[in-house]
Amino acid sequence: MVEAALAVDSAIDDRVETVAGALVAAGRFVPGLAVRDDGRARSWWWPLPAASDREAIASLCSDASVEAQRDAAARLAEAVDRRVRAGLVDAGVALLPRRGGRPTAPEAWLRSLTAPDPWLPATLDRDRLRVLEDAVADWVASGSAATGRTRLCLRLREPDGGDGPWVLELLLQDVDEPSLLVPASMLWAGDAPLGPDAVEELLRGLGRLARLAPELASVLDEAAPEAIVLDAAAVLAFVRDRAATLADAGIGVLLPAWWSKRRRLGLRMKASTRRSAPGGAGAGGLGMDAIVSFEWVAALGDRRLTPAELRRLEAAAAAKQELVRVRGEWVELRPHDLDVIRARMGTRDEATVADILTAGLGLEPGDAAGDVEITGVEATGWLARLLDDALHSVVAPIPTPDGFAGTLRPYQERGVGWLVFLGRLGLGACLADDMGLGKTAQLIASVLADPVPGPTLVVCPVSVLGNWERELARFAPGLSVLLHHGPARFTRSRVSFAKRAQRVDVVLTSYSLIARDVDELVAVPWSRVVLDEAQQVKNPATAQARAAARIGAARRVALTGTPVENRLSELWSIMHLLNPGLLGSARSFRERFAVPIERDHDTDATAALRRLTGPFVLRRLKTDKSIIDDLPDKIETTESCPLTREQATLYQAVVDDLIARSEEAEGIQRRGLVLAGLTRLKQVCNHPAHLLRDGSPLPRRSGKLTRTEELLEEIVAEGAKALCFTQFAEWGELLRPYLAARLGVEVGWLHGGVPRRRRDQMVAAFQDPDGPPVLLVSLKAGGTGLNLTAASHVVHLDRWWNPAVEDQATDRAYRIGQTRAVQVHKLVSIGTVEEHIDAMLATKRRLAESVVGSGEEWITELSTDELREVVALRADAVEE
Amino acid sequence: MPTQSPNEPWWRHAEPKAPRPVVDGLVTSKRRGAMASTWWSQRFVGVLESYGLGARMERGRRYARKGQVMSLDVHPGLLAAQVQGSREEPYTVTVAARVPNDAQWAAIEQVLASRVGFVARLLAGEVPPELEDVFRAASVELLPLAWSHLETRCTCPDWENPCKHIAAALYVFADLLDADPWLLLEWRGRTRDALLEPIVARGATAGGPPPPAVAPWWPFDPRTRLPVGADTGSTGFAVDPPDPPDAVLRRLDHLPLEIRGTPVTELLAAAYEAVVDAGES
Repeated sequence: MVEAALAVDSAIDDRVETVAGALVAAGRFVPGLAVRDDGRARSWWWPLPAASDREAIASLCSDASVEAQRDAAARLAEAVDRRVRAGLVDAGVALLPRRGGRPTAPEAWLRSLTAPDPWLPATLDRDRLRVLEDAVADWVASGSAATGRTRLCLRLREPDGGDGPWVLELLLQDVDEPSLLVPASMLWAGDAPLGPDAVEELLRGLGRLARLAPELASVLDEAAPEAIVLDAAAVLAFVRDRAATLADAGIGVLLPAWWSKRRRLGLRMKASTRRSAPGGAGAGGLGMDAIVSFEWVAALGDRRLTPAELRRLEAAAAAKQELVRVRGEWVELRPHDLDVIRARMGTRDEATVADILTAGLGLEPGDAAGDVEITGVEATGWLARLLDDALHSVVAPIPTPDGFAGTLRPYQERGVGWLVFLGRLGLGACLADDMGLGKTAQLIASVLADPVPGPTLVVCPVSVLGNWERELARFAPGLSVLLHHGPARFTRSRVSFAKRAQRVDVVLTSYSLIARDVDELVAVPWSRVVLDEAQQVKNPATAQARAAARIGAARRVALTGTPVENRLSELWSIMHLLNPGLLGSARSFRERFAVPIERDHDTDATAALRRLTGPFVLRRLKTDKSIIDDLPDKIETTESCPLTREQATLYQAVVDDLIARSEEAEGIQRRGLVLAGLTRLKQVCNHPAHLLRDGSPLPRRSGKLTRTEELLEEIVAEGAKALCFTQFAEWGELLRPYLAARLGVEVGWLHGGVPRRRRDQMVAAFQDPDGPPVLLVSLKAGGTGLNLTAASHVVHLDRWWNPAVEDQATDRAYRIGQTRAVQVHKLVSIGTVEEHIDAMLATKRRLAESVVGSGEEWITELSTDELREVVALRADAVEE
Repeated sequence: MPTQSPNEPWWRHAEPKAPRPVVDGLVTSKRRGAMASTWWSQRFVGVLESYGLGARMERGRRYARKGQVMSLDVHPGLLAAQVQGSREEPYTVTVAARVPNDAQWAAIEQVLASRVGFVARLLAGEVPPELEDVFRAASVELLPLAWSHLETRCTCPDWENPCKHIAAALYVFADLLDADPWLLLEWRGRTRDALLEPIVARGATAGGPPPPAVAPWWPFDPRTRLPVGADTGSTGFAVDPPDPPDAVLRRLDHLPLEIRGTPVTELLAAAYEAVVDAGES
């Protein structure tokens, strides 16, 4: 007998430890204070269980007596205090700074909370301790789950075996822990696990129920009501007319899980589009306004109704039944619906692609079928694929097209297939892949794979015009390109712009110019319009966005890494340019999606918007499992940046000076001159203020800095980290505070002058996920031994004409332990020495590695003519 | 020379003196219009107004709205109010009513226990109309059916009854009844707790003084029965690391305790960070 009791005891001991461990891990503990009769006080870390923990706590009591509860409370408090105190002592936590003199009671209490010895000094004033004890006890009791709030809750139960009555169970619910439900019968019987006021709360709830729903008031005629019996008609009335009101009035209502997902009787659109993709050859496509013919069919949810089922429903309607079971599901039957369905089924009708999509994607299609719900769309062919959730995975991938220099990766083949599929339908596509996945390459491949009469217009920010030129030349050397840019863009040829545009395959221009030249641009019969960095037109009120909307083309593509930067209206804006009408007017979009999603966090609206835009937005992340294997470990891109007019002027002055002086000098003196000149050219490319060292302001004076900011903004928005290398300590010094302010994040600056210990701290901070996302590093800073694998981006702000030096820097991010692909961005100023030498290095890389050696001295060996060629400023270097 | 109303008797020629202002008087919730918004308080006011007091009624209403009634206590069978008039000493108003005897109350309580509706509606702030029938069946009245059923007194020198002070007190009572119908029953001899007791505490837990608390943090009221044996197999915990670590402190009221200007709850944050983080790793 005694042994059995002991066994129970040790089982409870184990459970006390389990519960204590869980409470501590969940942070459910609070500081306490207990003063003994003799005036000695000890601090406690008490558990503070939540309402959901009550069952577990009850299991620690051997019986329901107050003595057993006391015993369990003492053991649990003991175990929790031991754990918390040990954790605090181990971590060396002190809640108060050390201070001399006699501590006050609160100070002594706080000190003892982190001390191994829980007892407070014996010298403290007894009365003050008792006052403190009471204050702490009141405070802790205010959060005790014993004071939980409760409310009446009604739970609707469907008939067990088919035809029995429906029942509304009466329950009492814990407001803070809604899954805690106690049947009314238990309360009438005297059990009150939810506290002593539970019965009163139940009664009050019933009184309010009678007032809010008088048809249920008869429940009050019983002495101990447990449930309300409802017939099928009353069930519908309750759910339709009362449930929401009662919930608003603070009475819980629990409907069967299937209720919210119950399927409605309605009509489905049955459309068959025979061709697998229309407009295979033609340029026009369909567009959102194209008309599709379809047939109405009677349906329950997404399944068609059989004639037999329809007859049974008619019989039920004739018998005035409102809630009918069909195929094991409860269906709400409205006689009017049935009339409309009978009248419509079998007839043909027409709707636009946009209407069919909204219906097929589960959104309201308007009043196309009177009051009857359109439950969906049955389609074949391209329409079926358009309605598919994962359109990009069902359209046929397009392998690397002829004329494309390079090989598409598998995920890029899917992207190109998707672009071409939507393009042929005349529907707009938003390719929103992560930076580095090759949006430009996919777009260029789609131009080659889907050749149509008429040129392609590419609109992009000025800072990436040079990039586009290079990428087009690199991936599709066969495509002819017209750069519509610069003050002489109209005057340098006597042939009209429209004619010149039609003679080439691709026209490149910038956002600022489409606003200015919109009249000339709309005159060209474009086959395709591409909006790169489409977030530039996120505000529909801007001249750029209005111009973009005016320039027509059957194939419309937006490229962006961030389709929504701040507000959902930006998505509307981009979609409005791609597929006008899909998301309705800006106002209806705001009412239907933006406000519910942004303000109310409405998950249904979010899902609806995702479904509706799903076919037209393709976004893949570098971390996606499906593409991660396709990616190389290291992706290198060269970012071409224009010079500002100020930079170009300074650059030319440095070049003139360098050439003039190098003609006169010789030997070591000449070498020194050339190296100094090159350094100054690099400084100009970085920023005028870098060359001049005049402390002048930085914004908008350097194309390279502008691009750097864009790049880093995107990286930070991605939640990634970047290492930025510069060979100039003074440039890093200028950049750090500037970038920190522009990006609104912490930016580290690691250079040769940083002492060893501080350097280790900076490296550790950068490696910490919560640390600064950007670390500037001087290329010469300490060289080896830095482990900076937290970075998934490496940015070379200026060039060191020695691949080995750059690679060594890159490798600090790309090391063993790096699990992500590393993306390397090399910033190059267009038309400058940087670009010339970059091109030389790229074409003669192997040669460069053997010949160039480890420094830049090889440049000093060039003849003055060669030198002139290398440093000369090309005309197209300057931005508007 | 003030104009004289033809209805006023000759000793009222002088303008009535303004009452003394009262601080913290019982100002009625209704500032204009009818003084009662529920059927039961309307019935109450109706009895008063059926008496046809004319101008005194109007003055009593103004008194009630201005807060001249300084206090109103409800006792079994008696309302007692202090009403500030124009004299320095406030007048005392009493309104006595018949209280059912024990046998009658026993009969009433038996009916109340047979249907939860009575108590439920009262708890929801409403007097169920059927309650009048229950009282009538026991041969007593719930609401006064006639003015003569009330015995009213006022210490003011006016010899009319009801005077404006009595009227003011009854208006205030009607106003209180709108918000708390239990007062009606208290006046008839039973408090809310006395009426609820047999219904709310039907089970074994009723009776006796509450035992002392187990601990401030203990999640059960020791008077209630524990859900012991319900499911002792699982601990039933969902252990999510709290965010922020000291999230538990938000469940608690404000702790009015500072050490050199810093709230103690802020000083405690460091402890939670250390313990909760250590638990995670």
